[in-house]
Amino acid sequence: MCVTNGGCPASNGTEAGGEERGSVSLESIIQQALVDETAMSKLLDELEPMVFRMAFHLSRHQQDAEDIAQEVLYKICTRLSSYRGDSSLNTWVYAMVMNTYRDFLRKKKIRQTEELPETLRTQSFEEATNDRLFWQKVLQELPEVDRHILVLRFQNDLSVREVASIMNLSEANVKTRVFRIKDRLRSLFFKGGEVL
Amino acid sequence: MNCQDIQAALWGGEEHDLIRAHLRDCLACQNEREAVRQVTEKLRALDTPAPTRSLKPSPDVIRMTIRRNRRLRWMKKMSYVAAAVIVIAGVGVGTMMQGKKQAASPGPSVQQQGTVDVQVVEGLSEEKKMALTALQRDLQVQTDARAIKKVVLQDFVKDSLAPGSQVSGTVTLSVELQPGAAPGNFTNGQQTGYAIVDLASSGNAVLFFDREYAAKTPEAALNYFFMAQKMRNGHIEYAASTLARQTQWKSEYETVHWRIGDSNPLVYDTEILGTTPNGADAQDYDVALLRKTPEGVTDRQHFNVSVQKGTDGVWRISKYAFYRTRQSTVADVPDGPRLNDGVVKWVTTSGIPAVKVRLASDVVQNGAVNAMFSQYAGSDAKLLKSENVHEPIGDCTLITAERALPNGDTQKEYWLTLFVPESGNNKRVDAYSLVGQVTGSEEEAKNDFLEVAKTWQFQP
Repeated sequence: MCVTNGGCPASNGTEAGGEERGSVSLESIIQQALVDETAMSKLLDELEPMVFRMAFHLSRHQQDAEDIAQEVLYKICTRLSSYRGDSSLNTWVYAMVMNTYRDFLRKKKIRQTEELPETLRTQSFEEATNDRLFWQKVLQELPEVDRHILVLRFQNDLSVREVASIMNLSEANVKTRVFRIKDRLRSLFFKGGEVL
Repeated sequence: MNCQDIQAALWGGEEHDLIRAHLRDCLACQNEREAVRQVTEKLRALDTPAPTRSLKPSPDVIRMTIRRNRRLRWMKKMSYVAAAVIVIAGVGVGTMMQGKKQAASPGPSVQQQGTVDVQVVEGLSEEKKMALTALQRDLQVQTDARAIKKVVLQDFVKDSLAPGSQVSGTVTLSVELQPGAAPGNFTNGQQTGYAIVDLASSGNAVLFFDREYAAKTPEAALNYFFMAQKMRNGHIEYAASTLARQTQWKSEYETVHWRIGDSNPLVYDTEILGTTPNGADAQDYDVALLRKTPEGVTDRQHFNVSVQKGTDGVWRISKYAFYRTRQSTVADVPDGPRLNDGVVKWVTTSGIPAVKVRLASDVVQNGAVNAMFSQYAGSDAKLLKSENVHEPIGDCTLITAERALPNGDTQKEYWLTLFVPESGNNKRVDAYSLVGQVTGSEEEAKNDFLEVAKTWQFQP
């Protein structure tokens, strides 16, 4: 059962994905979760993989991602009553992950590169033949804002408007950056329309 | 729309009829759509490791949040009722003057009818007052006014648990039930409960009573143990335990600087490996808790769990100890009594050759032997002597103990214990113990015990 009300990413079996909610509306799920421990627990269970995944791909650090996701889930639990439905629950949750991640960085005063695994720091694109490392390297090489946009737009399948809302950017700015990301990706690994 | 517009739209996540129509005939834009699809797929396929612990707020936080939400709804509802009363009164003025007298002297308010009279005694410290005021708000909403007439919150003794947004402690309160109401969680008169107050969420609080987890059967008590482990809920563990175990529980949490409800590596399944009746009013279980390690491998934690029936007929967790099989082995040690007098009978229940108990390092530095022994040996065993001995496996502690048997006799025991720092965690050490019962000459048994222990192997 998907608990988001729009743009659920295709499910890989581990996330709260898929638009199908049967006959249960998002509003009734939220209303139930606000007053019922079991429903709240279930809602958080369904959101946890999505929240952790985004936190992980933003922070690229297991422990930090767990700390961020834990705080986000706490906030979702305690602040769900303030969700007004102005945006999709997806957008509301992603915005919370993004803000918590920013706060986390501010508090920790860490720089991104300090947290990277050694294997990623030392590898060049040519050396990173492993697909996973290759794409992690792509994420590493992009400027931070572009990386966040890449994660939100493509990994979480959000629209430009939703990304703009979460990132506090204009839609035009996000579109421009998406195009810049595309050019960057193309220069790195597109040949004849295929991703290497 | 030209190709550039179409491709910009594709990268922006748009795909409407106009774009679809264009894509049917344009190979370049079809390739671009394929590139977008591949980027999306590859990014989604990037490995995301599984969390190593539960990330959800603790059940206590969820419970308190739900209570707060209900309270907010109730207050909102009450404000609507109040507004309705005002509107009705407003309409009535000038049109129903005969109702004025009734409006001026209303009966009990809706709030008075719907809530319990909960009071906090005067003269308490600010900290106690704050905790009890939070509880007061909670009880006013949560308790049933049809069953409970009045609650007076008298005292709050905070546990000296690690500082954090939650404080917890024992609450003393007196309760007056409504005439004829049957006792439930509350009974008439003075009683104690356990409260957790969340300072981070404007003083939300929750009150528990031990009797909320009153198990009628040993299996039910064991299930509370499983529930506490699965939910990492310190309170369930506390409430479902005997008084002695509760005291120990608090001490353990303080030692490792845990707060109630802290998350722990997630236990996702449980197994009962064996059951051993221990008299009419006690039962011992060998159980396994399954959790995922950071590497994603299933880790089995084995526990000896004892439950016992109290004089009130309730089964409670009286003891549990952690052990791990296949990490410590005694080679070539047969089960059962050895052939000669004065040798050791190895205690190897369920094929477990050695007991492993996990302790915090500051416990080790401050009386580890006593801590380990009291945690595992049980209340019927008394530590007589401990001495340092050197074995090939390392420097160990040899404990001589005496156990009181049900028939009134006593049984001498040796406990040979090795403390090993836990890998990757400098806050804890593992204590491995070999346990032997003396069946003859104590001195010969000791020599035999130490000799056989030379074959003790440790496989980290």
